[in-house]
Amino acid sequence: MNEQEWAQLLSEQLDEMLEGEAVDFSTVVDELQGPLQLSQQLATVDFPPSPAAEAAFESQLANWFGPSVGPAFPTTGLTKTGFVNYAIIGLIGVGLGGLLLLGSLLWSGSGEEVTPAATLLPTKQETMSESPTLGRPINDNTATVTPMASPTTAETVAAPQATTSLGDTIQLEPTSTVSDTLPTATLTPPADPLAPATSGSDEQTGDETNADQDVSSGDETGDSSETDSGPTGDHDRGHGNDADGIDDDNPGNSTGLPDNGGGNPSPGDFSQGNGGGSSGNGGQSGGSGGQSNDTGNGKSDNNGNGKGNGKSKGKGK
Amino acid sequence: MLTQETTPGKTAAPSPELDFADLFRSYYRRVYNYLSYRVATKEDAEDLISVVFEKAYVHRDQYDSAKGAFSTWLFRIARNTLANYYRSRQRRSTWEADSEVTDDFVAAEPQLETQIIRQETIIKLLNGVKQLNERDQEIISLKFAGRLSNDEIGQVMDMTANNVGVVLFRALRRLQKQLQENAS
Repeated sequence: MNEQEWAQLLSEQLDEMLEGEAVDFSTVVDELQGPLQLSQQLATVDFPPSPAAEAAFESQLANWFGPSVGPAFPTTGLTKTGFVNYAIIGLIGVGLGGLLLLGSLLWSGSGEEVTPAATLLPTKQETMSESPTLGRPINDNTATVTPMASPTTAETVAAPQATTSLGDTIQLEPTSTVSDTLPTATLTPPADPLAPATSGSDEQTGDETNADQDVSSGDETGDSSETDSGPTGDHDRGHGNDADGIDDDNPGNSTGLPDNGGGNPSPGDFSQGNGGGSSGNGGQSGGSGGQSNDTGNGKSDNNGNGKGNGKSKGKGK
Repeated sequence: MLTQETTPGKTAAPSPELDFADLFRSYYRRVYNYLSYRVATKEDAEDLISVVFEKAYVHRDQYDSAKGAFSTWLFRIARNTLANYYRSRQRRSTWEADSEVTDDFVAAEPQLETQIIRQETIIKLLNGVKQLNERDQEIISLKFAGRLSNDEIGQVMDMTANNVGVVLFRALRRLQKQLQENAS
């Protein structure tokens, strides 16, 4: 046999070997023993690619041809690890989302507590609790105040009701700015058919604003603003704020010193310590030392009353 | 599923639509084994196979099944990629005893002693292949790593099948002689 014939015979046996058939070396001629043994060793050398390389190849195929039906090679532990990683990441994401949602709910809940509406409700409840004791005098006082919001009806409404014991109620209960309003709305009808409509609406707003700051301050300065005198400069100036220096309603409390209604006249403040319920905007009075921070409001609704009361001086006893 | 795209300025391939994704998958191991035969490190083999399939993907519209088998077309790309790799490296590395590549194909041996013996045998064998000339190395790699037939090797190397058989027969005999010389 020449070399080409040996090569042909070797190629046939190699093809059988590479196809998986066993080679019977006993039948192989001696000339091909050595090459066949080497070929068998070479055929067993296999270089498996790393799982990372296979995964990269699969991802590359997915990018080129889209999602595949399945990989050509069996899945390895890497995919399991990836699945676990994805699951962990998903759980973390869900947890973070829940925390964010919970945080947003809590934050929004706290915001609702801060809103004025939430504070108004308990204020009204306090007013209701206080109103049984002070209901009647405060209502009368409110009836006198109501005309200030609408000067046209002030005289008719205030005159008949100013005669009652107004000063006692106001002096005894400093924080009655809130309580003034609610009874006013209920009790004004018997005073005058015209007054309730105007006073009720005006005082409603004034009460709500006052209620906020009375709750925060809770001092007597708020009351000084309520020492609203009637159009006639009445007897009741609150804490001895009568212009004549004699507090008829509460003589024992008048100090005899000039008193600005307990409120310090703030520079630039139009309603000097006077943000009371009559003005309807006294709720913005600072609550500290009777300083009214309300600049524009106290003046807008109730100019005459606001100034007159704040600067009234009394001698007292 | 797969639509054969045509590059502008080139004629569309007359071959029917082929599932290149499946073809790539079916030849991945063989091409990788062939490249691993020819380079010394696993990283190089993985880099090269990525380049090979990227080229195949880019030029897949140039494949004509009427002109040859897909295996010959793909291994021709791999062979050219390997040639470029050698030109860039300007050297041929030899297998070393601590090569991480050999750790993979001896890991299947149950006994540690058997693993060591087999690893040494394979390293000697591959180093013997490295001492052959370029054509012998190429034919042995395409035959035993790429599992190509003589006809396919002939198409890749522009040789006849009979000539491939003779060259392979001579290459194996030279390898046998080389291993005997290395052992002595």
